[in-house]
Amino acid sequence: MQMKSDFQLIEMAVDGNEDAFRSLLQRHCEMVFKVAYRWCAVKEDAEDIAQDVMMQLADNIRGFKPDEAAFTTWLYRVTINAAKDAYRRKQSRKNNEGQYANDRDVHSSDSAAEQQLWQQETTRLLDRLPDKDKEAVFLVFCEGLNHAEAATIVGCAESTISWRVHSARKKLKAWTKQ
Amino acid sequence: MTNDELKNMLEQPDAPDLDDAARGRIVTSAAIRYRHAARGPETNTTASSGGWLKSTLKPFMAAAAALVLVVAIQHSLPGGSTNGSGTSGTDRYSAAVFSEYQSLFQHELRAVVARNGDVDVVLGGQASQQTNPLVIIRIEADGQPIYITAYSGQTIETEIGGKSVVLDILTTADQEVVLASDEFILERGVLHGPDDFVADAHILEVSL
Repeated sequence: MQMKSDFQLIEMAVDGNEDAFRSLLQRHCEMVFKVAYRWCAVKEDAEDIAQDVMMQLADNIRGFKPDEAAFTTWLYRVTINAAKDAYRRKQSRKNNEGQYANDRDVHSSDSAAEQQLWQQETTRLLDRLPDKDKEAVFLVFCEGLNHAEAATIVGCAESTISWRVHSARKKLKAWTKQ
Repeated sequence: MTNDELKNMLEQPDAPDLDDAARGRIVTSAAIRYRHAARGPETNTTASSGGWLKSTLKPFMAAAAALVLVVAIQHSLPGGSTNGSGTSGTDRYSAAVFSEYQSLFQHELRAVVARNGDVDVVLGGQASQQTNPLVIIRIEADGQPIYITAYSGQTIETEIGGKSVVLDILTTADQEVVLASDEFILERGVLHGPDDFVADAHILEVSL
C-alpha cells in the first residue's frame, strides 16, 4: 500500500480518521522526542515532553489546515515551548541551579570523563542564558536551522533570531572566560 | 566566540531512540484524547497548555510507588443528577472512563483521578483487585473538586491542595468507604482533617 503523505494524513485526521491520526503520531513522535531530548538531555523528561506535544496535537488537529510545512513548524514550536515549560517546572521544584544539569543523561561512549565534565559545563552555561537566547541558539546550532527557519518557529523576525544568537554568543564568551 | 566555536560547544550526543513502550504509551494516550475530543459538547477541545504528562511511568518495571500518567483528556464531569436507579451522571461517567482505561492498562491501572478537566491515570506495579468494590471519592481542597475512581484496597499517591498525598482506599464489611491519609481520615461519612477540606466517597453501583 502506498504510504500516505503528511498532507493526506492531516486531511484525514481533521475529518476524524483515528487511524490517520495514529499514523501521524507514529511518524512524528520520534522527531518530537529527539528535539525534546536535545533540549533537556534527560530521556524520561523528553518522553514527557513528547507526550505533552502529542496531547496538544490531539486537541488541535481538527483545526489544522492541511499544510505540511505549517504542521512541522507547529510541532517544533510546541515541542520547544513544552520543553521550556518542563524545564521551568523542574527548576522551580528543585530550586537549585545546576542540579538539573547534573541530572542529565551522561553518555560515555568512550568513557571520557573530561568530555562528560565539558558537557555538564556546557549545559550549565546554556541554562544560564535567557530562555529566548537559549531557544535561538538551540534551533540554529543544535537543530541546524537557518535564522529564517528558526524565526518562523519562534514566531519572530529573522533579525530577532540573529540578534539573540549574537547576544547569546557574547554572554557565553564572557562566561567561558570566567 | 565564533559560530564554529559555539557549534562545537553545543555539539550534543545523539539522542537515544524512543523505545517501543514509550512510543506505544504516547501514541495510545494521544489517540484516546483525539477520540474524546471528537465527542461533542461535554468535551473541552480548546488548546491547552495543561496536560503535562508525567511519563516517568515505566510500565515494565516493578515500580513500588504509584506513578501518575496525566492523560488530560479534558473531560468536564457531568452534573450529579441521578437517574431512576439512583446512579448519578458523575458515577456513570467516572465508571465509563475508568472502564476505558482499565481495558488499556488492565494490569497496571490503580486509579483514575479527574480534576479541573484533566484526567490522571495512576498506574503502578500493583494490579487492581477487581473483585473489590469500585469506589468514587470526591475531595475538594482550595475550592477545586477532585474525583478519584479506584478499587478499594488501593494505596495511591496524588496531588491534593498543592501537595502530594498518599491515600489508602478501603471499604468496610457494611459497604462504607474509608479513606485514610496523613492529612485526613474519612470514616462513615465523617471527615477528620483540615477545616477547609471536603471529602465524600461511596461505592460505585455501576457495572463495568
